[in-house]
Amino acid sequence: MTLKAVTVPKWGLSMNEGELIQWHVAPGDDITVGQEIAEIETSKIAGPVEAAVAGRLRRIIAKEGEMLPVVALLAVLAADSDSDDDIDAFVAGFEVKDQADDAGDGATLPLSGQLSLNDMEISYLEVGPGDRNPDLAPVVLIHGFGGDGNNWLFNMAKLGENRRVIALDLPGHGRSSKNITDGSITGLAAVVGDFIAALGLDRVALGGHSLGAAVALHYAINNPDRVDRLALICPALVGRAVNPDYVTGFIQARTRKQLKPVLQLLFSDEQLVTANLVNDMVKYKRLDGVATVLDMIAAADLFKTVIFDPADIDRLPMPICLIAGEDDKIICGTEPGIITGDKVTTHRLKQAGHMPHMERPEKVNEILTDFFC
Amino acid sequence: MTQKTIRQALNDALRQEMGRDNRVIILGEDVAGGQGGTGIIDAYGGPLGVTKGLIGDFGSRRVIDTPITESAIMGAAAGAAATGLRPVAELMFVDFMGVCFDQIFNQAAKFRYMFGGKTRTPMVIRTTIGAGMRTAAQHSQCLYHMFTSVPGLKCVLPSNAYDAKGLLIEAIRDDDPVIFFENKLLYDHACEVPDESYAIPFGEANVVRDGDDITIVAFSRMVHIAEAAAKKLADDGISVEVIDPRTTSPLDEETILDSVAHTGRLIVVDESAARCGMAADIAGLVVAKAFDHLKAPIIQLTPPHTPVPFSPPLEDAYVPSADSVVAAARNILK
Repeated sequence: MTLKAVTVPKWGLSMNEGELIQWHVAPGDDITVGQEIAEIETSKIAGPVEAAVAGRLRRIIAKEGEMLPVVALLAVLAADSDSDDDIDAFVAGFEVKDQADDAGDGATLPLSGQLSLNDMEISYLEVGPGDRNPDLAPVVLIHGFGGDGNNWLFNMAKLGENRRVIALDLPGHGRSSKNITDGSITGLAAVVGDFIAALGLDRVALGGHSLGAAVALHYAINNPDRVDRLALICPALVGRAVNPDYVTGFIQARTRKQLKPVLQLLFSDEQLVTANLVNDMVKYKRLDGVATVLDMIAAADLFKTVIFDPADIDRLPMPICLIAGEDDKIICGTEPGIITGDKVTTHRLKQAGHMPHMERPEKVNEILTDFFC
Repeated sequence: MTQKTIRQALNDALRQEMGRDNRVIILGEDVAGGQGGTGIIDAYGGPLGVTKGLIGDFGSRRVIDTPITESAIMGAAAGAAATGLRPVAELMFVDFMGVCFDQIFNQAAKFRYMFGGKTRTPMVIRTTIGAGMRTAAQHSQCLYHMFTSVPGLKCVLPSNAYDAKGLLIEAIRDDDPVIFFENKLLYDHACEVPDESYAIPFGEANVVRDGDDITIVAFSRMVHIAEAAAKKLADDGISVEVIDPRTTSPLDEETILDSVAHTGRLIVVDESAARCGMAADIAGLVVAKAFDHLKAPIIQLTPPHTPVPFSPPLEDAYVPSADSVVAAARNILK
């Protein structure tokens, strides 16, 4: 059988459905694996559908504007020798339920967990295949200020193809407890250290974004023998100031209307900030305790330019991957900061703002897959 | 996140606020036991089950069953609030408010003003509204417009479970009297509701749906009627923005005016009253402040100026329906 199904991907634990915004391909086109073939908007954000299979696009099933459940049939790839009747039969026989069961073997579906650390609950998402490569250290991903583990929804499945990937919610964020005692990078890195220890991980590969990158770097400096590799995406506090308008705007915004322009600063393409994304953030900000947590984190370190000693970074033994967005409006200025040296590989991505892992996931996944292996 | 009904969301809000602040008390008819109860601890919790189980957790000193004396419930609540408690008083049907207008309109609403700002009245009155239950003219009204017109009272109209929890928590934490109107047909309406506590500020409308051609402002259950109509109209390429003000006092004028400035057309779907109701109020606001943006006359979709009928077919015809909203939308575009 040469017929292949192209289905709606599941990008995160909370994704049940998505709206097909636009097709980038037409019947007759030859599709390659990884090619961006369509745009789907979820309750979080719009993102590209990358083809998981290659072949000639013969039939488009899903219409633009249609709301589709996860793993619903988008299109059919087939050889020229397959007849239209074969394709009709394939479409008629396609059952979403069967495919969903296939997806449920842990290969792509993140599982959610929760750990009690001291007096707080720390939530996390996890993916990883049963036959994971034991030589690869698990990846622990740390989101930024005001974010949560779901920020990695476009990356976890790809990175988790051959290893365990864990994305935690920092205290005060996501589904973790909304109480912290110490909002400094040191305090957050201590929680991440406790979290890694509680999971029983000896060595990890760390990926951090923005404030989460500063947390990852702090942990690596203090535990150099436990960190295999260090990926820093748009890191904060390493020599370039965090846009104070963003930090105060995010903290002070109470309504959807006030928050939207603040969130638009995060992206190169402002259209990615959907009404649903804004609503989710407003809902997060209303939770008891969140305002205090954000204030504490901001007041501790976030208005500083750098909190690390360059000599400590020079001494780090592990390779470092630095990813920056060319249109980043949160981490200001163009100076390279203090993440320099032979062990640092730098990638500057076009058409990416402060959230390249959401805005250019295919590129970030390629870089990180290469780097972590 | 968990799916919860409005009934569960309200119970969550009461339980969490009573746990957080021991000044919060509940009083009303049958709030402890009542119909279906099997004992004081495993109590049914009000005629609609909203306060179920609270007496078991907080005891009869904080969950107080009252005699059937509406004026005493409201008078006791206003006095308790003025002396430092944070009472949540329940009155089964808004229709019965007539017997305690003095306690609400002249006492609770006026304390802060007449005592020169030296006192606060942090009380919440929970009550039910709405036709459609076959309960006839004395148990089916939507009198929120009357309370909205009294300065000193805040008026809250949740349309979904997420809003119900956050708005009730905000109401309990507010230092002024708040009337909290629950539509009887919405108690089983469910959506995702966080287990954690959160407060939704008053005076912030929810834009339920973005659109370009028509603005529909709707309250309480009418939000769902408007949404159903908007979906039907979308199939014909008509794009409708649905706004749920969530509170009528304070009212988020800005969101309504911005939307009308964008669409140029306004329909208000309001179950309260054909005369002097919220539809007339919103229409007056938009005429006064956004007249130049209007491309068509405003449509006020309300029940007729009659009591709620007991005859089921008449009762169904009395309340605005999705079909009547669709028809109004087609008219306004002509």
